Amino acid sequence: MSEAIQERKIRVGVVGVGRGSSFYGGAQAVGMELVAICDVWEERVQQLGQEFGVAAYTDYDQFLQHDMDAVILANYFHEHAPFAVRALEAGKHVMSETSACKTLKEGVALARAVEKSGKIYMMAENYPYFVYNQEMRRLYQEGQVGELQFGEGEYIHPCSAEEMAVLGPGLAHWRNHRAATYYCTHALAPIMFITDRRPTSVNALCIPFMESDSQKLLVRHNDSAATIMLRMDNEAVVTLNGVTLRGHGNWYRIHGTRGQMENMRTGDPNRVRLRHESYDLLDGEELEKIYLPEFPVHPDLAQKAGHGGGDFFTNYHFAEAIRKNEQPYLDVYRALDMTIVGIQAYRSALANGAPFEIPDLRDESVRVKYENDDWSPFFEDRGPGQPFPSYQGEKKPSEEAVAYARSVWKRIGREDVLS
Amino acid sequence: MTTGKIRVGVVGVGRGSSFYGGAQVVGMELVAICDVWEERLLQLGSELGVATYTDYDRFLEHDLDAVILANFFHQHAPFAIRALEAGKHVMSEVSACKTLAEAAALARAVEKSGKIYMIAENYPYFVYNQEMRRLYQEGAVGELQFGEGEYIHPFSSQEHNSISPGLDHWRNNIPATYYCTHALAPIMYITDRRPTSVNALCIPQSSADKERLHARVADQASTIMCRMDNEAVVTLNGVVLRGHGNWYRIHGTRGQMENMRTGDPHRVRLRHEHYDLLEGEEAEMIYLPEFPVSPELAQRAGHGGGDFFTNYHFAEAIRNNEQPYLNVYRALDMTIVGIQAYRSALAGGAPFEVPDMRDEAVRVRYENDHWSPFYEDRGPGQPYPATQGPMTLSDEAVAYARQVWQEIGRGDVL
Repeated sequence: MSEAIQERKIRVGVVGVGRGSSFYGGAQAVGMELVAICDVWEERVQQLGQEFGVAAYTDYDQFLQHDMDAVILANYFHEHAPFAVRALEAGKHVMSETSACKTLKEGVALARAVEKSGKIYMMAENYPYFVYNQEMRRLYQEGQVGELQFGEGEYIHPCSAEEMAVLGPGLAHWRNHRAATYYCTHALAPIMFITDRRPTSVNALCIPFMESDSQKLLVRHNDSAATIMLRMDNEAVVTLNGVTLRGHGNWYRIHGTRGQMENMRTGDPNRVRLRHESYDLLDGEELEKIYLPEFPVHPDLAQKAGHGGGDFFTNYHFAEAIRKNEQPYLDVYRALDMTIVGIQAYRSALANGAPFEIPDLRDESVRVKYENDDWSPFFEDRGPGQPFPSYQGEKKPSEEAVAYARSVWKRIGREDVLS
Repeated sequence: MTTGKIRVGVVGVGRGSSFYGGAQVVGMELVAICDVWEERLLQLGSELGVATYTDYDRFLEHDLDAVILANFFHQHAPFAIRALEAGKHVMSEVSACKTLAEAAALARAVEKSGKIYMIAENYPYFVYNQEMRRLYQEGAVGELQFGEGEYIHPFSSQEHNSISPGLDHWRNNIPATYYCTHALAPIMYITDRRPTSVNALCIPQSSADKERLHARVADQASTIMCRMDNEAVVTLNGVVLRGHGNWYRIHGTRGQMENMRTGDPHRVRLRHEHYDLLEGEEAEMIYLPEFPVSPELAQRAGHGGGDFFTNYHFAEAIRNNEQPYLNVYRALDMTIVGIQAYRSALAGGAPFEVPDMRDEAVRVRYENDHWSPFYEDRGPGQPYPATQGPMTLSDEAVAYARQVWQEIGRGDVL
């Protein structure tokens, strides 16, 4: 480990006991130290606090008063922005799990809060740091495939009715109400990271849950999946696919003005495939090359971490940003770009794929246009003017599906969500 | 297949000579060819011992049962209609029509004639697509939720110029969405689904691309999103991107399948989630399938066996007097996707319907729709073939294109 990392430990508090315990193991390697955890699940937070010898909080305001440098937000998917804004206001650096915000209004508030605080903000989007995506960034930046013309990003994670019930305890749980376009950052972030391009507009279509699906006991109010088509700031087109289709996997590809590259769909998906047409070949290049790349830094530490090394690198880059006092690559603006794609894509899907802009929240005059936009498909926001989380309107899970889900929730000890 | 040979005339000398070899095995016989390129036509006629025509009306008076249209991409519909009116069966190369007005007229002409019409879309008949159809129809992956079809064919400036002689050649003036049938047809064939609406974006030519010494005034490529009639979504990618290949995949309500992107692309990959596995199924299977009929004949034909099967199914349709799978309605569905996708691309990807020409009431709405981006139709109300408007070719590009045309003996287009 470099001297810089040893210099002085960054004291970190984590919101969310699950992530707290996974963070504990990897913190030291990147020069961070877990000092406090916070969760509303009191029993577990006390237990974990004792186990790790760190302070335990159920109240977020009290947690923020703890003596620490940075906060990692691993609470629910759609609840990050208000917690991030409060942490920034309390003078803490923030690393937020996806997504960055639930609404455009929150997006505007978050951008302003980061700028006002002068603190580091990073999105813990781990897929750009998979070994093949880091390698494709290196190849792209070297000019190996020229300029992006077409790209595709895909995060497909099928779930059985049982698996989904385990992950989404409670009829009101966000996973049962998340519109299909919102979970797009795992598909999009690597393409942005490889090419340094940002999306400027979006067209999207949702794919409904179908009666013919084998998993009839899924408790869903939302659609199965979505396809998102993006116009990028260099006029390239990028499509995104996911999430709950059959055919598990992450897949990314770039078609450029001088070549094509992708990670492999079969065998070891960490391998990269690089292709050139015969007329594009430069000295030493091959028509097709398939190989297993290496991590650019700290391969030993990355191999040990979760999510294909991604979890090591998000921690690493967050710590580096704090030490250097420079915003990281996955800064608040890129975090908002990729999060807003999901929101605007859902607006598009409700309008049969009509184009919607991706407002650039780097610009205060754009922020003003969206600062009151609290459009949200999530359960707690339901009401006049708000959309349902399926493009086909309100969906009610069958009695059979609800009964099955409740039996699972009971089995996993989540009686609290049964009432 | 031996009972009474089907007498066929072919329009287009290129296809005429490739057809000649494969005709006999499917029970067809080449009896006449037609082309405006007189020199080559006469040469081929005497070589093959068949009648030759430069005049299409005279050609249609020849004693023949069927006509194969292999003239230019965007000129098929008027030729097809005249052949049908002359009582001939028609197999047309892609595309079926240039405009929606032509589409309505073609559908009516087929119905009125009672003759067989087929589109010679050969990609559905590649061995992996026939296998994926078999798997899909067996229920191996359930119902289509998401599909992707891709036909990517990169060209150097030199290659493009040599197959696109003349500033007004259709390949220099075809919008990026129009050549979509190779990407779409297999998905329709595998799943029996039809597209009902499209959203599309074109990808412009890039100044970073060194292969721009050609006379093409259209976009580089496009992505098309189709809503299908069961609410599934299908995306189509192509054509002139880097990364050569055909790739098709289906994500269904019970499994996923695709042909392989690396190694032998004829192999099929079939996957099931652990919770979807039925007895005898595996989580992943990768294998080389076989053609369902006449594998030995198919292997010898061009385009991965596709060229054999288009001839075969056309001949079978005539013998059985039943419209083939790739009938006029499916031909129009897949062709119209390209037309409506370009309208969408010009409107930022806004949704456009894919009118169903099976319905006379729908035909009436489109029978006067002559919207066309092709060179010979340019004028008020007509679109340019690039989404960003009229493109100006560099002097360098035009000079190089002319040089190539000269080299290939097409001094006539200079």
